[in-house]
Amino acid sequence: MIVEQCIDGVAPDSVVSPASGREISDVLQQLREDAAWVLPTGGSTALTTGNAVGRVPVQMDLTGLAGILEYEPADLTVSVRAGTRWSELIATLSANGQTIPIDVPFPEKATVGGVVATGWAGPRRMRDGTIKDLLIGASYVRGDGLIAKAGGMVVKNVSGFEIPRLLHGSYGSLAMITSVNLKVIPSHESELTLLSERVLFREAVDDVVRLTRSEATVAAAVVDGSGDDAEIAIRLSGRARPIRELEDRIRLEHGQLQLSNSLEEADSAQWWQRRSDTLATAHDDRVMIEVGSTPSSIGNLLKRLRERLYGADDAKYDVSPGTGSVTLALPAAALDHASWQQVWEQAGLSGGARYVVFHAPRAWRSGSQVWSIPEDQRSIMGALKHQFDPEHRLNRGRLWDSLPSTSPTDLETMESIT
Amino acid sequence: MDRDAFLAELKTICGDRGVLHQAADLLVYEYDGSVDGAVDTERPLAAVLPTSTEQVSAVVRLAYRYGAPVVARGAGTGLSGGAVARGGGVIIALTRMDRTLRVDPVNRTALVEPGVINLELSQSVGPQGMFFAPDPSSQKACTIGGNVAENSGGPHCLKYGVTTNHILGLEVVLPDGTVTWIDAHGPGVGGLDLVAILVGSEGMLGIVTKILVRLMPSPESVHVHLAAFGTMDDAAVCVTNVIGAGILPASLEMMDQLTIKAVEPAYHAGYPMDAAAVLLVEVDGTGAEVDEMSAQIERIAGESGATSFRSAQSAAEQELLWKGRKMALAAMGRLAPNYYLHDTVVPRTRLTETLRAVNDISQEFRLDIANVFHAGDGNLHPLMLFDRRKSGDVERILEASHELIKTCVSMGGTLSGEHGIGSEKQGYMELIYTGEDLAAMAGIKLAFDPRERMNPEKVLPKGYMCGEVRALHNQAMAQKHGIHPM
Repeated sequence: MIVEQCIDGVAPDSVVSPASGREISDVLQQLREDAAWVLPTGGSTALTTGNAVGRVPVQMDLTGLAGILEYEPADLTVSVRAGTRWSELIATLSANGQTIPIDVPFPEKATVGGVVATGWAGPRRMRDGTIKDLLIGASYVRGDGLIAKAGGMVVKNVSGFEIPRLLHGSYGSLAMITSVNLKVIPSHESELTLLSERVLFREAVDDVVRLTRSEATVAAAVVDGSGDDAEIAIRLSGRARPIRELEDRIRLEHGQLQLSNSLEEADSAQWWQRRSDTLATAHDDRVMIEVGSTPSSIGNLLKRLRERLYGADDAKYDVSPGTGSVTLALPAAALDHASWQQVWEQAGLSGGARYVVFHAPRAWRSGSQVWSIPEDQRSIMGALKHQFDPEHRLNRGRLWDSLPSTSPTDLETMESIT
Repeated sequence: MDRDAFLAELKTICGDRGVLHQAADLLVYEYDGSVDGAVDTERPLAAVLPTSTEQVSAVVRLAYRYGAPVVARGAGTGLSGGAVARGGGVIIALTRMDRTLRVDPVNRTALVEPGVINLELSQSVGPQGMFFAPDPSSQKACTIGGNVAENSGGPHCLKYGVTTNHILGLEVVLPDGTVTWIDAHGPGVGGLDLVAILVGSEGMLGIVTKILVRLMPSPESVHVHLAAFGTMDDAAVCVTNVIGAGILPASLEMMDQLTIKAVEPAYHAGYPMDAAAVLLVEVDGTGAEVDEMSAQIERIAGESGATSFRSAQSAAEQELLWKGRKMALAAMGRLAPNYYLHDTVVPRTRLTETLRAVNDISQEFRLDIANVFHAGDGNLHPLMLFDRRKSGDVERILEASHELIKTCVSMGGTLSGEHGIGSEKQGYMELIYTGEDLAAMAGIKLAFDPRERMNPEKVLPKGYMCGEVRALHNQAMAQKHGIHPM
């Protein structure tokens, strides 16, 4: 079936829709020409993340690998095929009073495999962790067509290398995930979100850092700012009575946050879902950069960035002070990639902080690297890539630009073949 | 290899006092905590005790030049033979690298060297309202470096997750001696998550020389309860019911009658001597949360057939209830001179069935098997009691072990939940993995350590070492491209 779809502005030469790991492996093993490679897609909600690719010989649509394979609520584990929509997984779990506490953008489209492959995590990372913490097993097809699995359906497992966790966040550059096994958690009995009036941006970040340090059971806390103003949102979830007590304590002891509004239950969850969708929405005229540091340095980092980005008037800063991270949304016209790198270096942030450009117009990314991968790790990452995908058949160029083309093993391989 | 020249060069790196090579000095390095018989002991060529990353790197480079394998070692409390040097390599004992370099209470992290002892880290940051969550039973002796290598667990991992969930960054000496700092995936970090693959890699991919750990905020309130049951089945059903009710205790531990018999006379923890099993349940959180959970657990325990339910009324009483659990292994000496401690995991809903099967094995092989384990995780620790001096005892426990492992795998379980594979369970890997699964794991080893210089001959079973997998890989590539290997 041919689907008319552009990937990052490029129409794929062909589209395949395999229904099993075996079919994926067959496609990969049939690729002979050097120029042939595959771009795996799930819900296509994160296609503008990564280095720009010039041509897409084969798009591999993995949404055909859908469905729950095994779910025993009393075990708090689930095995699910990679192409299953996130909303379907959550609906199945919810019916049994369980969940996975991550706000995935566009859950009706996003797939479970895509969430794992992109390593998506929202602001609840602060208290509840990420999907990597819940990943207990995976089946996958390597770039060279090998079909394998690792881990299992038990919640503790140290039997062999942790390949599922290596695949997390690897953007399909090593293997295509065909199913994952996840720990799930009991749904929270109750939730509520406290929202502030318009407050001063700089002070709000410091105040929220203080809140997250004194109240460890806050689920998420964000400061969304633009210009000098910001709005604060604090998410509480858990048992009904304890979160009411927590709410009272926050209002009493953190009055400066001016949390005058609140949203309850479904309204609260929807507010966070909308925020997540907004953050993940790609706009042609905006660049979105995720910067990570620590709670203690996020205030200073923002100060320096804002000083240097002065003039980018409609820059938006979505800050998660408790995890020390911020997503910047900048007008693409205001600065190009080189200028951004200059801002970064001038701000003196290269030491403790890191960034990933997770969305930018294609032209903005062309010819530059969106991942800041440390130089001294490139050879070991290259050697792993070589083992999983020796002919670079998967996502060529998207995560990697020019990894060392030969590793020690590569040389030995060539010697023994010829 | 010119052994004398090699030793001389090692001494220039670590000093005379940092290199052990006399037979008597090396005796202790022939073992770890595993059972002699299940794991072969072996004398290393030498043991070095570096005090810095630079020394570790220099030793690794030197060993590489001489073609000698290196094996990292912490306190030697491992239970799967991971720290025993195969092929007469050099043991790099990291116990002198035991400094806590930085504690950051705002960001709740600590930067430590690998030789820092697990419990001492929690004790040192306790006054600042924090703790390091992984708490293996050996926590009074085991090191954080060892915890990273084995991806260690412990009772509190039920709520807080295992070691890998608490590692934010690592300084690593790679097999060629290169030193690099690696951040775990988090905001702003791109590329492959090398921390994810290094944690739990049993010293086969690199030697960790600094560790940035996540510290957890100490809970506002902690309750500890003891529920006693007339049958093991009732206790196992209670575990399933607690988890099924959506309660996540900080820990949920089970001890059977044999364990109680060993523990109670030794430590007077207050476990009822007539109980067939007890559950030790700890819940933590805010005061209100803990009150609610405690009430719920008491109700579920009653509904599951508990014969008594007691809540510790003071910190001292909590400590005493825990003491019985934590000292259970030490107390086994009252029942038999030796024990073989197993470590398998089954899905939680299969606990009752698995415990019955363990009982059947105990009968069939005429062995006393005590059970003291992390019930909430489905992580079993059957302890087979024996007397090494009695002829046939070792053979019998090895046969029974084989049966036990096969049984747990048939329940949908796995080989190890927190002790690792090492050389103890290499031979069982094919029970849970296909040839392709193992070839893919061998690929990880090949990427980091193509010459198999770091902790060789561990984890992967025979037939899946680097050389063998490389040959298969070459063959497949050659076939695909129509090249016929010479």
